[in-house]
Amino acid sequence: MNDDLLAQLSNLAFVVAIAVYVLALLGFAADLAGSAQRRSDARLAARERTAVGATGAGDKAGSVAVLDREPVPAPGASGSGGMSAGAFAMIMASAAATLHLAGVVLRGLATARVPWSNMYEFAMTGTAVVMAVFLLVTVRRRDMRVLGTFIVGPLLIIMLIAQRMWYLPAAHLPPSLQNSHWLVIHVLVAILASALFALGAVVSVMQLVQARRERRGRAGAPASTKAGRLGAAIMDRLPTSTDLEAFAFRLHAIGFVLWTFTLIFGSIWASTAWGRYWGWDPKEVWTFVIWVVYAAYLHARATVGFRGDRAAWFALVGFASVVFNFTIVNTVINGLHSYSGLT
Amino acid sequence: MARDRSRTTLPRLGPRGTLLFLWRQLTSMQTALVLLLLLAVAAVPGSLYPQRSVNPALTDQFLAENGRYGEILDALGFFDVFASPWFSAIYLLLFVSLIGCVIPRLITLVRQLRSRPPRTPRRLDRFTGHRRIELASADENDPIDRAAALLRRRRYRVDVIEEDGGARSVTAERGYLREVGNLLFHVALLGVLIGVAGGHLTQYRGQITVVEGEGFSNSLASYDSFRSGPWFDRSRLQDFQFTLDDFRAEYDTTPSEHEFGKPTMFEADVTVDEPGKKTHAQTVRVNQPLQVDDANVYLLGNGYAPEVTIRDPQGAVVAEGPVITLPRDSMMTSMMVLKAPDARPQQIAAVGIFMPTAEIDENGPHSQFPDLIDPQLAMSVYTGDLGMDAGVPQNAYEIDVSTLTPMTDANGQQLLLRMAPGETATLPDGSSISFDGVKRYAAFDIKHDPFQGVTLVMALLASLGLTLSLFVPRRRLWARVSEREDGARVLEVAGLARSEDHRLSEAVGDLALRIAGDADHE
Ligand code: HEM
Repeated sequence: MNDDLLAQLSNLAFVVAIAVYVLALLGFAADLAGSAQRRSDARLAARERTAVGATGAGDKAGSVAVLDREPVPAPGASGSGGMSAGAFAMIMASAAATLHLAGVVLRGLATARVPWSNMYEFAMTGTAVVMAVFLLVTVRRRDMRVLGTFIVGPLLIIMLIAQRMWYLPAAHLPPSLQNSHWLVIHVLVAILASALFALGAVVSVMQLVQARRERRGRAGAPASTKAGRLGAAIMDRLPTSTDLEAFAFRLHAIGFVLWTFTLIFGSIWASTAWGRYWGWDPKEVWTFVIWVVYAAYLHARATVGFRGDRAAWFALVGFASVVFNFTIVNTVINGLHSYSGLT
Repeated sequence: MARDRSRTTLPRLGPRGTLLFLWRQLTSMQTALVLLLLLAVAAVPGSLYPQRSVNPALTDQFLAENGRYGEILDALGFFDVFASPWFSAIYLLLFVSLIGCVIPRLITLVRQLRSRPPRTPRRLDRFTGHRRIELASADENDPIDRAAALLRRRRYRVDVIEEDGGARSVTAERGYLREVGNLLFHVALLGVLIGVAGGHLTQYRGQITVVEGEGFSNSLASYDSFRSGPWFDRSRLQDFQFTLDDFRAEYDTTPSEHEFGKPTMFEADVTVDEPGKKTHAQTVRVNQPLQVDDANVYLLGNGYAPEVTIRDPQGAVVAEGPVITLPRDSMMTSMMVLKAPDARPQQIAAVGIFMPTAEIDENGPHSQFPDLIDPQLAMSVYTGDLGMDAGVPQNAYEIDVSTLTPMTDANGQQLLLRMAPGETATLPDGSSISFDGVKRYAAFDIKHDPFQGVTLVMALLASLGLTLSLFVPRRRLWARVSEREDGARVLEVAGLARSEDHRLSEAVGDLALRIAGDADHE
């Protein structure tokens, strides 16, 4: 098959993947809102029951405890008999991710090299990794499926930006990127690390929101508006802030190790390409800054007074640096690493 | 009164006490955290302002454009962030703190490794995964011994304890590698710092340009620029030579805006001559440096060197040779300056543009493609005092023509020569310029850093330590067998996570099953 055709197929795969992701997003959101609504209704009903002193519901504490542990309805097992929104979302997400990965592979075939040598490709491959990691994680941790909305949403935004602003036709490598397996290794590891940091950031945000709500809950101020109640009910479905924290830590820990290797492999590459392993080029400065910020995050988790929420903020600062490194440093600040392909 | 009160709230520390207090502050986790954050923040200006060590020309330009503001920034070290006193202070403090932190933890770890695991707690029901199982029959092998053997096999450190009231328990701990890894990580970071500093002090680095057919021999005089660390002995440059036999470049001919003219390949064939080895040929590519005797030679740039000869009216050669030109755009429109200080009666300079694929239109002379398809030279000739005898060092690739006189043709127009290879032009004063041919040149960086290997090994050790310290769970497991009043033997198991450990309850359950399950078998 000729390269042009492959490149066009790759573009097509991405566009269709984006459309299918939109469906997945709708599914995830409907699932979240729907089951949250059901649960909120159930809770209201329970409250009314205990309020009128209906017999058989058990003591108040008991009924609340039972409601809190209401099992998450398994996908495909919803009462209405049709497919549940959650199951639909997972199917769409898997289909979209498959197309997305196919797009990445086709891009690689079209250019006869690894599909990560400019911003467009980096974004497309990175988002595919995010989705793959998310889907793999949910195989073992079904409870994390509820994060779907918060992952597919930002992912769609990135894909759209990449498609609209960073798109470049498929091309072969400039000599500065040739003859080096480090392009494969260093950049692949960087993509994996960034993807984990992105997932970690989503989970950390959820953790912070959840923790805030839990504190409020203890203070005992129920939401007064309908939207507030729905929001609260959505948060009910998410794991506790402690669980989210532990999950975020695992993502960040793996991401940090990979980022450490990104830094080391990058240095090795720089040493063979430019004759120095470290030169404080803007990209290198930011790779270092990101590394130090995430190191601070890991430290904070072990520092009295910073555990939990405060540490999560460090992780978010870290991710902000990742985003800055990828967007501003690539396009505005010019250094040796000018591979964005945009001028 | 006031004095009394201040005395009660602030106990006098004395100089020794104060030092101890400061040391404790410095080596606390909070301080380390603050210093880490400061380090990150302090690095940022290094990416926002041009750095002298990275791009001196851009730094000078910034200074020229920003006047007083630039001077202030410069005084504060914003153009040498990574060598500035404040940046150095932060990381030095951080590493002092690190040493102060690591040593006590190393001592604790050694002490822990040499003592027995802590005793089994009296009440196990407060711990993770606690369960109580009634053991079926009294068997001869004590389940505690079996548990101990099992845990030992799983690389726990194990201790069996005879307790009051006839109970026996086993206490086991694993995951010391976590702490070992953590210490390894921090110590190796120190190693990285030492490697970087050592390299800084002993390395050298220089740039050279070599025209096809010409050679380079490693001596200070052959470098265009050369820098070395303060501990480098300049008389001890590695002794090697090489000749650039051929330089090849290929460019993309796809007619698209993004690809047309983009380089697709650079290769330099060299013949290397180093002491103690046979002369050998090698191809140097981008990302594939030439390694000679501990130094590396990197291919970093290239360009064209037109061969131009200037003869005086008598036909004697006054300037000759391949002239290194500097590419100005991606199509290799290149700037040429040729100085002929030996020309008489007046010195001559030729200033012009070399185009590998020539085009002259309303945009002036420029190249349309970077490869040699239709090479041409467009130049003007000047006479006058080139100022080369003044003893002021000059950039060979530049000339200030404002004090020189342009040569004119019969009509008084400034002379503009346009030549293809093989052509010769006679100038109004009878001298001549010929364009004999075109060669390519390659620019190389030569670098030697004896500490690079150490730094790499330290960085890899740090990653190893990091991985251990993040992913090895540290946990304690306990099992106790005691007798109830009714004579039944009861097994209790529980565990304690001393780090992130999502498999702990699984491990406790597995242990219970193994002990009780085996008991059932027998
Ligand atoms: C160069 C500066 C430093 C860096 C980049 C750094 C980085 C890190 C990282 C990434 C971790 C988490 C991974 C692990 O557990 O090994 C960590 C853990 C740790 N660091 Fe540092 N560190 C630095 C300096 C210090 C200093 C000065 C101290 C002492 C005050 C310290 C004490 C610790 C401790 C106690 C842990 C273990 C935390 C735990 O138990 O989870 N570090 N450090």
